[in-house]
Amino acid sequence: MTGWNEKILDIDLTTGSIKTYPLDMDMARLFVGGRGLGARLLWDLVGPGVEPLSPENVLIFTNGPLTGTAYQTSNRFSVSTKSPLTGTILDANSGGFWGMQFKKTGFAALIVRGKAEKPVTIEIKDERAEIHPAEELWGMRVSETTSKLGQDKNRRNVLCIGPAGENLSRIAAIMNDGQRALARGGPGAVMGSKNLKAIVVEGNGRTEIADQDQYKFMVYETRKLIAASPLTSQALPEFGTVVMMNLVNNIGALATRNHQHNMFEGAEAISGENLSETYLVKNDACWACPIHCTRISKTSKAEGEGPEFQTTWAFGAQCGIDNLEAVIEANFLCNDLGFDTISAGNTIGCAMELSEKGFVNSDLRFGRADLLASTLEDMATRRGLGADMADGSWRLATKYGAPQLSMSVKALELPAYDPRGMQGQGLLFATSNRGACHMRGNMLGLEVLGLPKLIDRFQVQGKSSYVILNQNSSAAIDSLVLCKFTSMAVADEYFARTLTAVTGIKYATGDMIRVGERVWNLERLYNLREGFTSRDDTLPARLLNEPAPDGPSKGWVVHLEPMLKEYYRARGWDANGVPLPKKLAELGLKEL
Amino acid sequence: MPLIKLYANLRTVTGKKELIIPGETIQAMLGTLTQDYPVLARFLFEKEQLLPRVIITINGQTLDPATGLITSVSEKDQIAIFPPVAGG
Repeated sequence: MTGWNEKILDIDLTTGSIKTYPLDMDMARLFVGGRGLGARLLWDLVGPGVEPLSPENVLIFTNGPLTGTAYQTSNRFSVSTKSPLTGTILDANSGGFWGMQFKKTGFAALIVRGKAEKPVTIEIKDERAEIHPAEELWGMRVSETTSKLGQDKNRRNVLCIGPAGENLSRIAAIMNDGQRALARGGPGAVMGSKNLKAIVVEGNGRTEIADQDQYKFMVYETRKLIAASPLTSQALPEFGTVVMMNLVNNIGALATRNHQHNMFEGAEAISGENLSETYLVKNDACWACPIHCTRISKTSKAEGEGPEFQTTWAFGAQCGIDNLEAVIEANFLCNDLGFDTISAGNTIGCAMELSEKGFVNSDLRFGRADLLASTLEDMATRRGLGADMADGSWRLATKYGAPQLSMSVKALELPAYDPRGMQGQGLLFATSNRGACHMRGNMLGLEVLGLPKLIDRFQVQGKSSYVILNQNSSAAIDSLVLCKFTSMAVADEYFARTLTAVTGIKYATGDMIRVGERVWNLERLYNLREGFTSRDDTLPARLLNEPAPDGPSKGWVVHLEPMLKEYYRARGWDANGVPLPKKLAELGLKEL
Repeated sequence: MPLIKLYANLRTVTGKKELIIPGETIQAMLGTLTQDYPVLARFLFEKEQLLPRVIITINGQTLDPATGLITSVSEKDQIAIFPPVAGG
């Protein structure tokens, strides 16, 4: 078989056992890799009722058949686990270099089980894995850990947790070569719960390709398409993702001050345009990526990667802060402490509203940029109110008697888009399998950018089919595992043809969407098995009941109920959101 | 006269964040704008058609580029023009 590494590395930190065994190739063909393969493995390994921070939970790191082939953006990899933040199935993926390097070690997946007695690291060099003691690394921040473990751009790569993960913050990320993250849903806390500080990879393997000539043609064609699209050749390289700030604010869909408002008067100050004029040093790229959307920024205190749009929004508009320097430094600090920036910023925004309304006693107020750094430090070390904030906005707001002030779905904090101004985005957030997320599909393209066409963002009827297609497509791309920005220039058909060239197995465009649908339904089954119901497919009450107060979206709430009914029906699920046997049979999931 | 706000690389090439431009329709305003700043035509049009994914809003409401260029504008309107942009 070509494309896939056909071996799984399975490490039990309780016993110290290290095993390898063959990848089930029927499973690989159906679920491909990344998110899909991770979800299918997790289904078998972590059953209902397992406490996410117990030794019974597992971390599953996966690559895909395209990973490391040098096809554009084939650098990504995925981690799957049960989320300690949401209790749902979780996967998070990341770019950079680690995924490519992991593929070169010869494994398709790494499963980490159990709990080490004392802090350890895992080192994988080609097909050999070792567990090393790491007590001297425990307590260390991410940048220092990454450096101590000898990270070397494309030769030796390091995943690690910082103090946030060690202290079991449910919004802790696993950091990738210091500045990228497997961020959402708290995978860093799962790693911390296993006393696993880091995973280091070095490899020399090559991915075998079934049809070299066709593969080279697909790389050539894809390069042309990325170069021809103004999105991937101009907008993203020149301004990065944060160029969205002014646009989303302009249409009245920029969540502000914990979603109390939907426009931010300070948007221009934290915009991509202003970042380019002030703190931007240069742009950069992941391995095998021609897009170069990464920002390298420098303030008077520090220099590093970022910030991305969502991060800039979370510490900016959501906290009522228009001080770009403070936002950039909060991003750097999150990277070093090992936090998901979206959840961290949102949780601070929630705490600001709780404080202003008297639910908690703290100095936090909207606009207090001077408190960002110390608050993040308190969260990472669980000091004072930070001890409660470390577990995200939903647990924080619930503890202090105001759960309605947590802007989250299934306890995962919302991203920047206020769905009162983007109805389809509201349905997408409500039905996302890992909680509110703009990476499980994103209606920004259809409702705002006109990609591939513009539809009315306030329209309710008929939205579900667009949302479903978007969700399935994103699950397919996450299973390949490629960067979603590629799909702004390259049609799904190209991914199917490239997968065919690499693996030698015929995949048509429809097959890829079917992979995505299969993955989505499997994730749904997982959450149902955990006890989630249609009641969890909802949004914060504020977005359902309080009309947007500002600008062009003024007066709108999210009309979720009719969209949700339509969505369940279009998905082939019953009125309670349970996949019907016919749908499961159609997707090859009948036996689950 | 209506206010036009420019974003992303439209600012870079014109050196302007906003401009007051006369015109009773979006089409007329764009005509004047590209006359004053000919370089903008390359960023907004191809064969005299508005490029796909150029985003124009009037007071935050998105114009359908296929049909909206003849939309009337009033003195109090704020028009925003974004070149094709993307993000997450």
